[in-house]
Amino acid sequence: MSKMKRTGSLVLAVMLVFTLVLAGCGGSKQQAASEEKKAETAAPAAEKKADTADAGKAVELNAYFLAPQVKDLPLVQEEINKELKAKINATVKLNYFFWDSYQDKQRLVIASGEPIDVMFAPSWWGFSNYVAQKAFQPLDDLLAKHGKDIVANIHPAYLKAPKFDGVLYGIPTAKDMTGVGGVLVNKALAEKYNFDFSTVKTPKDFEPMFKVIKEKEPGVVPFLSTKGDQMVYFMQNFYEILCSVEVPVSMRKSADKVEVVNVYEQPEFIEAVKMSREWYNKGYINKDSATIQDGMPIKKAQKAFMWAEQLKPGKAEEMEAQLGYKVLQFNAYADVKPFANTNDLTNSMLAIPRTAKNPDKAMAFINELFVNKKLKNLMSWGIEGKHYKKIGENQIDFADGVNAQNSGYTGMAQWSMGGNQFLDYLWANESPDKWKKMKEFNDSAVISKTVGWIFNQDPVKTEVAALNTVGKNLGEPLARGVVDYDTHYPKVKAALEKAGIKKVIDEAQKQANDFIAKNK
Amino acid sequence: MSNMNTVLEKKPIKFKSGFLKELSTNKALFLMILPPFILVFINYYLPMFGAIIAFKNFNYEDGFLKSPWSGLQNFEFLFKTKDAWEITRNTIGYNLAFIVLNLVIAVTVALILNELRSKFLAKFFQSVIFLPYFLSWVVVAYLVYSVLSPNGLYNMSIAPMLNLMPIDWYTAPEYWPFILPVVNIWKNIGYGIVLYLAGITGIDPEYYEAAVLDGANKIQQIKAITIPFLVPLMIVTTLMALGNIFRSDFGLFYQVPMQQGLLQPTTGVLDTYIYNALISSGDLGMSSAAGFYQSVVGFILVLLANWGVGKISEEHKIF
Amino acid sequence: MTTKALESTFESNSISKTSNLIFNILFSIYCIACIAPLVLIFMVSITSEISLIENGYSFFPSEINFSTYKYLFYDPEKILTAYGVTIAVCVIGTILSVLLTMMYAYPISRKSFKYRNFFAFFMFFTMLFQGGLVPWYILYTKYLQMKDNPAMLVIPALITAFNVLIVRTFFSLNLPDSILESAKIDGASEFATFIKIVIPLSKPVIATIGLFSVLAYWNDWYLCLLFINSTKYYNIQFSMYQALRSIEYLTSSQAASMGNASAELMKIPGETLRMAMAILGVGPIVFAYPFFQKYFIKGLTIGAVKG
Repeated sequence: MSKMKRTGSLVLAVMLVFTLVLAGCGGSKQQAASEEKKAETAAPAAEKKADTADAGKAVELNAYFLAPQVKDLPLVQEEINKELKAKINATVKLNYFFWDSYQDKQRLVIASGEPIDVMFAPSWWGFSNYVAQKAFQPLDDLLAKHGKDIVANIHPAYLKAPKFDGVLYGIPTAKDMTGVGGVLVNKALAEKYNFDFSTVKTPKDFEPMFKVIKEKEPGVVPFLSTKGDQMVYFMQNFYEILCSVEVPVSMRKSADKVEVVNVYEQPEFIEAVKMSREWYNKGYINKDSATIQDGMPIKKAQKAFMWAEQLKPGKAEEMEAQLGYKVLQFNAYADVKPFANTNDLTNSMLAIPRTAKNPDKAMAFINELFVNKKLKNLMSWGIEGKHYKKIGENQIDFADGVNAQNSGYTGMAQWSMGGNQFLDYLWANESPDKWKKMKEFNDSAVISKTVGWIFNQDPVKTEVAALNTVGKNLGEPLARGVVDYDTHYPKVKAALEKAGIKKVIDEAQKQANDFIAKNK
Repeated sequence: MSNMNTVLEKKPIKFKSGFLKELSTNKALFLMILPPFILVFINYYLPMFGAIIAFKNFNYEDGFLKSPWSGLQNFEFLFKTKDAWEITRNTIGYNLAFIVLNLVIAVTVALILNELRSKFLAKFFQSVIFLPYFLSWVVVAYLVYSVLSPNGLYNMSIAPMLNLMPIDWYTAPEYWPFILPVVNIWKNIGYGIVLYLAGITGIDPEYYEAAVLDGANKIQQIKAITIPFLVPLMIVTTLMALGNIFRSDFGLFYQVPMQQGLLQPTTGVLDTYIYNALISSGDLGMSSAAGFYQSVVGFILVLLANWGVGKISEEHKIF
Repeated sequence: MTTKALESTFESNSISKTSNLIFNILFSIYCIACIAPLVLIFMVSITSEISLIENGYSFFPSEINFSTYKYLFYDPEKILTAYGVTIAVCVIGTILSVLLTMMYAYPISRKSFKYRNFFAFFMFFTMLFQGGLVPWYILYTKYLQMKDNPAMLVIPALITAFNVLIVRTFFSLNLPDSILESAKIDGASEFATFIKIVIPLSKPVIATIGLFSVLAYWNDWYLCLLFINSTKYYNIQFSMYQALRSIEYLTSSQAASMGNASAELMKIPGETLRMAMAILGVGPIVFAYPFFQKYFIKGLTIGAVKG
């Protein structure tokens, strides 16, 4: 026993030393932080001088993008810097990280206080948390000073969306403003049996087709469901997700009403989920729908007649290239209009972190991405003649001897590269009027009244965390049609209530109401 | 040396003189332990101050030190759901089962391998048993899936052949308390076997020779010599496993059941719960709180267990 | 017993032929359960995607094609570099790790070392409490400036409580104080004792933690994800992980609900690729393993000391 005591006291002594050392560390850190701040406040002044003279040394911007780590990045970066130096007297250090690591890297580099000037920061990777925790800078002043081309080239709804308490924190990418949940259909099969899609009003109307396919096309799945994805796509026509896919707290999509609801209790959801269950029981949906990891090979092999997808103009054409055969696209609900809400408008953004050394130049860089066609296409497609060649006014194809596998700059998701997507060249297989059609589609979208409000989850973060697990464990089987709604839901309901769904709904409703009242 | 002692005698603090005396007598040992000690200090102890954000409402502007305190708020989500009890039960239950199974099976297999007449075969078996350890959990999950899925080996081949009912494994939680330990042992047992084999190999052969002269048979030798020699090793591994009793092999519980909600009652553990709760927000304070909670429980258990070991045999305590 | 006693000592101290046979059969069966899945993974990795959809996993795929491997080896330089990084890290890391682990474990195994319990606890404590990922990351990148430094693939995993405590246990069992004392009386310094007596007597445990260390370094991808930015320092597991995660994300509801991921992006092979990557991740070490056993792990091999 005495031995233990001694060990304990020694541990205490060592811990004491640690605390001292740490306090020292902390002190220096604090000092460093305050010095940094001083530097920050000093920087804009210096910046201004440089701007007016415009002869100062070109600053280097540190930028993080969601993009694959391609071989030729240094070459492309060099080209980009030539362009940037000429236009805004700055260069950029591009850091590309892709799906495998971007989310982790983003969290760590922000937390570590690394100076970052531009960062891809989509709403679905905790943007609201970052803003609530003061990771990003307010952008209104910077936008007014350096962003006139942004304002001129983006649908005004975009710049209303990424706001907290009326303050702008992100510059969205100008692209398709929303999507409609629908289905893709194997064209050959549809024509073979002369299916008439003009009479389809709701997904239920597809059912007679499934019956035919099941009887006459053995080996083909009438409706391929990958982990019940159809529910996500069908419901997106009616509800806007407020937390995450797992949490059933959503805003009803409506032009006049502002209503936060529990999706699991809404008539559209119940109807669709019962329909899914019925399809499953009748054998129209693949047996392994709950566990299947990847539906793509089945689609590619033409072993599926229909599946759900988020649609936009030209989606069927896009998919054709991927699938290798023709498909048709149909909205799941005939009379649902495209509806743009905060989520849609913020799903791809660039932010300027708190630690930025050159926020002014950073904004100028983003501004260039909205107006400089050369720069934008360098970012998206690489160098002309090396990675792609022009085959028309606005059409491109791989450069000679280059293909998707050996190209040193390919695989960028153009929407994640920020800026104005309408500046991007179109590929050989895309319809030349894609951008025109997309603009029309955007103009037809109904803009939600709550655009400009982002649900601040901080007051209810405990409840949201708990709801995430309830949604994942109990909600998912329900929403995938794996279990019977009527028998299973009471259990889910009890769990949701224990986790505090009421509090979350009330909080969201209150915030939304306040927003509407303020912006009347 | 004598010089030093005279200096020390003037110092009134006993603790210090004891320490310095020890330092001079065991100088070499201190020198030896110094480099790894510094490494441990930097790699493990310096970042520990960061754990304070478990009690803070963190923001990036104020950083770790200046963010406002939030009491125990970050811990609340851990106890917010109906299945908090279920999750705790699963976490502890599986871990205890793994501790016992791994210990018993690894020691038994190591003992048998050691006795096989063909050393070549023994080596071969041991290597092969180690193979599954190299596979990632994702790949293991796929293998399990290829057997258990609705279109898998069991439902398509085995069940019809043996005239059994097809089973939808991924919606039936009752089977998983057996599936998970089997999979875990299949994948990990090689590690334990290597460890205990090394332990057995280290035993001085003279002990056995003496036992044979005394007419002891194989079982008696194992009981009287091998097992007692392995006991310290068993205690160390068990105590270390106890310390991690609130943590689980994430891949096993997350990947292998294919993240099926319906299996939650028997596959949900604390780590998967934390992961699911925080994946979308990535909240630093709450994840830190979760880790802290897991540590504290493990810490208490280890202190108790170590004390218990000491009650039985002082020399087997690990600290 | 009497007949046995007539046989040689060695023979009498072996298990009977019948039980030997039974054990051999049991182990053989179990070994099939260990090898078969690996073979299956390999077969799936060379199955054509169409045949995979139609017939599922099979040991005898109806259509074999190596397109997945061709796909992965399109840029062989990248994969070979990654293997090079992994092997270098394994070798350097393991040597240093074994050395440091023994340097920590030896003093705390000595009864004459007064503060051994404190140091043992100091080590053990790290197994229970960790400061968390973010502070740890900040320490290395901000204060120690180790970002994108390949040494970060080695340093953090050099010393673990598990290995130290295992080695300490071996030391206290196999190194009786009497031997060490007699060495001291013979005038050997503590370091000389360590090198001339402790190390030779600890071959089995050195081999064991050496093996554990190799495995840890071989399987590591997380350190690479955290600290490495330059693709030239990517190790093989991270390269594999990178490809895997891209697939996972693109097929997840999170990515799908964004809807506008370009078609080009989603052109990715499915399960066959996953299996091929598993083979590439496992293959070399599986082939290297017998050599380990033969040379490196000489001390560990069964019966080497006894036999």
